[in-house]
Amino acid sequence: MDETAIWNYAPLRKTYVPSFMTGYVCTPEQDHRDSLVVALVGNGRKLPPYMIQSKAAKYKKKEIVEKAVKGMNAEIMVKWLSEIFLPNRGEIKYLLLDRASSHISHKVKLFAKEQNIELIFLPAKTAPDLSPLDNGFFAQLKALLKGHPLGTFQQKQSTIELVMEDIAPETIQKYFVHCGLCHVEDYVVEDSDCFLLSESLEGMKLE
Amino acid sequence: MKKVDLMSTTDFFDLEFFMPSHFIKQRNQTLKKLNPALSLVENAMAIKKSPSTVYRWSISDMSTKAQKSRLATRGKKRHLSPEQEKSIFDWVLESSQKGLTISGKDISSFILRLTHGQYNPDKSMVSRICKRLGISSKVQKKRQPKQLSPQYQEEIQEFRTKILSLNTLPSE
Repeated sequence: MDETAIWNYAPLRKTYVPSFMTGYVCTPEQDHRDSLVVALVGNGRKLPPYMIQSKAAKYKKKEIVEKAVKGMNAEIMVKWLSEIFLPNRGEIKYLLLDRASSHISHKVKLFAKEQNIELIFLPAKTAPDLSPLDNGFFAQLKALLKGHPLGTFQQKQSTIELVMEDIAPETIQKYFVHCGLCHVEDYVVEDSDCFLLSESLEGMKLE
Repeated sequence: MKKVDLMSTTDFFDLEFFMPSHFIKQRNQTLKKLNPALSLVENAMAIKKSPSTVYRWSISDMSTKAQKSRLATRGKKRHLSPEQEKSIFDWVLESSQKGLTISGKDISSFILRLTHGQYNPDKSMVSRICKRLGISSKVQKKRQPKQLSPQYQEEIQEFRTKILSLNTLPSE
């Protein structure tokens, strides 16, 4: 399980920099950024996507009425576990998580213990190597999102639900195998893979 | 013109933007090459310059210092001092290292703050300053992710074997 930022469509802008330098983008926290929570299973199944709408804090007479929501926090994590994870749990025995502050919070650990959810945390700074979501799933999802209207929260929600259906279970299995979290035998070989293999063997014979 | 390491900002401003000494150097060197036996037109042909230019150069009896000061006062009057222009360059360099986007409007508002509301520069003034300081407008790029050091590889391998030993399909 992991979360990613979904931005309103914003193309790369031009910037003034000294001629000998390249201008790089930084992503400051902005209001037009929402978060998406996705969870995948090793057999290729995916849990329904969960969107977190970012909100600015509301004040009344210099006192905070509503807290700002900028992404995942412990309360939302518990909400996700109870609303999305538990009803769709099925065969899942344990949940892999990165060491984000919201994931390792006391509230989440307590809730998981109460509901018999085994949490396994990835070693620090290894998410780009071990997380199947960071290792291709989010890139594929964002590539598929290109060209779709992402102006409002509702638009984002509906398009993500549509686009997620296009990602086949076999490709999700591939991401798990790529990260070394699944045995290669567990991976169901596609017909297209077989064709490519036979083609390469033919080439070897000719040589 | 001498070559300078543009990555260091201090050298960048030693170039004497405001008094182009390389131009005076070139003029003095060409005057030394003139042959008194030849006519003005023949001399001009030899150094590939127009005769009027060579004549103007030959009659000037100004010192190098005087020539420099004359060149500095040429052209449009500059509103900002060299120190102020340097501070603009430093600000652009600092914010680009942070990864912030700087537009022409941002530069003009910075100049407005710098001069305490004295000058509100328009597009052309900003572009002239940028040209003088060697600042150009570019499309931003995305930074490449950092690579992990080899010490993490063992940790990653240990974690993989731990997950595979559980004998169940993982969920992430």
